[in-house]
Amino acid sequence: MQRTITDLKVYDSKDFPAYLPKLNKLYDDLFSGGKGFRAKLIRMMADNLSIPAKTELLLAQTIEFIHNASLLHDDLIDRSHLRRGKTTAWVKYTPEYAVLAGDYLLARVMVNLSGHGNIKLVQYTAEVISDLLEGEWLQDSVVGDFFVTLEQLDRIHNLKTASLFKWCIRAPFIAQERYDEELHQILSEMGTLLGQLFQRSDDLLDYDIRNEEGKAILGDLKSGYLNSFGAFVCAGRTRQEIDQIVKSKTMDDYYTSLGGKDKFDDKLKQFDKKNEELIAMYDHHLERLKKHLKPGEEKLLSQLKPLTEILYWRRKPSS
Amino acid sequence: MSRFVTLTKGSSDFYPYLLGTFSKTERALPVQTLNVNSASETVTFKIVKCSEVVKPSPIVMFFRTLKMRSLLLVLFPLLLVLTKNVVDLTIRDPLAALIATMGVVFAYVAMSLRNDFMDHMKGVDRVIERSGSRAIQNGWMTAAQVKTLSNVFLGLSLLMSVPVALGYPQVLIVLVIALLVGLRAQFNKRSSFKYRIGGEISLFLMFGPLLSIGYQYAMGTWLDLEVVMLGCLWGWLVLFVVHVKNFTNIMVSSQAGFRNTVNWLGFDRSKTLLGVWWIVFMILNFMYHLEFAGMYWGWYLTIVLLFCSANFFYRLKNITSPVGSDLALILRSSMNLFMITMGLWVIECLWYLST
Repeated sequence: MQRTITDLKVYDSKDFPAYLPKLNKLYDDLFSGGKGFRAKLIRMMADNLSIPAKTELLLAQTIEFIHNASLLHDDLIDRSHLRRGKTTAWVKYTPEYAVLAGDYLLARVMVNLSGHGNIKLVQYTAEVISDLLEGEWLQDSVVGDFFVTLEQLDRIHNLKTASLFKWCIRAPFIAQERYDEELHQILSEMGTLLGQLFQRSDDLLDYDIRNEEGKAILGDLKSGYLNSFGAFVCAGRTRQEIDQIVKSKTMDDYYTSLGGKDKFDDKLKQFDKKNEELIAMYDHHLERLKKHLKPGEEKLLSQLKPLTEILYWRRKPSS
Repeated sequence: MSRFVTLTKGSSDFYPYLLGTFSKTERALPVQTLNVNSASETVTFKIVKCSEVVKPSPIVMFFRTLKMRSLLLVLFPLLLVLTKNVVDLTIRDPLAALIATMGVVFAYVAMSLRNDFMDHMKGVDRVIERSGSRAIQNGWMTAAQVKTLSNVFLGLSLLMSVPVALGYPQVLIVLVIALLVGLRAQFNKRSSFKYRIGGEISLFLMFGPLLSIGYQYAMGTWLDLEVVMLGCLWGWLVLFVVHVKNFTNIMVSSQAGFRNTVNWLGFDRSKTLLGVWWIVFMILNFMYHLEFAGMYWGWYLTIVLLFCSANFFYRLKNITSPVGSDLALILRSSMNLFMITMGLWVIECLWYLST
């Protein structure tokens, strides 16, 4: 039977103790909204790899719990007041509750996964959580640094963003006890590339590029964070030029600081070209994945293929 | 149109691609390396036609491939030893000194190229984006070509060493020790030369005392404590730069599992190491001057260096992240200190030579 993402109820207040004050209310707020992209990715993998529904739910829950725990911590670290259009947890329920709620989600992940009994899955998930926290730690240390390089940001994003994408495509294979080293290297490369592309595309929204979801313009820059596109634009510029760029309050200011909209468009073209190279690499690894799939699993390739279109170009898949 | 090829260490094509011998018309540029320095190392290469490789002007390529700027590391001690011997009137054989200098330059170029080759093969330069000359990673030359070029320079260097060693057999002892230290570092399977604690000691010996003693012997004169101290001082300064460079790469090299003093100490304690290393250098420099040179120069140099160190210590104290632009600032202020020290020593040497 074909399942849909709405069947996957990753959060149920009954899974958490009712006697803890505010916890369920906080999680109700947290889990409502959000695109659930990572859970969808799990569903896609699970469907093609014929993973049992119970395991699929566990994997989807795991990744959404980790992701949402990171959001709770992230909002507090960034001092963000809004998440998905709603007041953030640390503002609404106090910073202490936000930290505890995030920690509690991560603890639940370990409880749930260890119940599944696959120690490799538990170990890999713990590694991902550790990467995520390392990334969070490092990201905070570059706030206010307008001379940070794209390569340095990539390293942070690999820990913070790409690690979750990697988990989404590796964990279903681990859950099936398929541990082939080459297979997991391919999946790791693909996950890293997807994470990088997602992050870079998300960073472009800040500059009103392909911003159909109406994300706040120059939000990162105004909060002192030079994101990947910002770092790409600022690379090789003088201190005075960068000072001018980071003072921009509107996109018009930004264009002016670069010497006009044409200059901005040129930079965007170069950035897109750089990322097309990543997409080409992703396609190369996708090709390598073919030989590791069992008969009947090949459909996964055609479903993984358009992910770069969706994540970077923010286009709907053509088929 | 480029394409990608991914190979694991077990594959028969792995080394031909890494060496660049897989094709005469194409270059394999490593774009991604996983599990570096392990049996399951996997490298993704971007295959481009030789004609499509982006190259700077030949002169830039020559200077960058042979790391001409860093030749200072071997030529500067020559100036110090030469000045000492001119002042002491102990130079007996200027021709041997000239031949030895050429030999050392060729040996340094050979070592530098060999190091680039080894770092490429072992993965260091494939993981750390700004490490090495980038000649192989950018596709200007294949790894095999770099190795051959290294051998040519090594041959030239050995050729130069023959007349000097025949004239002054003591030089031969220094050469053999340097060769042993170099070979030990070279054939250590675990990691690259610069990225091991033992490798750092080798660098200290080769750029420091062994080099200065070798120069001293090649000038036809005898060994004395001053020249050993001079070498130690220079070796300590060179290692300061090495530690700073390792510090700027602490995150990537730690993640890749490379071992050196900085990675072993960790971020915060390495900050202390760099500060202490520089202070010890200033003390050694002062003591050297008290013992072997003009005391007033000792005071003068120390005061100027202390004054110039303010920016370095300020940046070192305030750096809080192993990523970000502060790392580049630390590197820059350290290199400034290095250059200022050399500048002051040049002035000092000129002063000794003119009086």
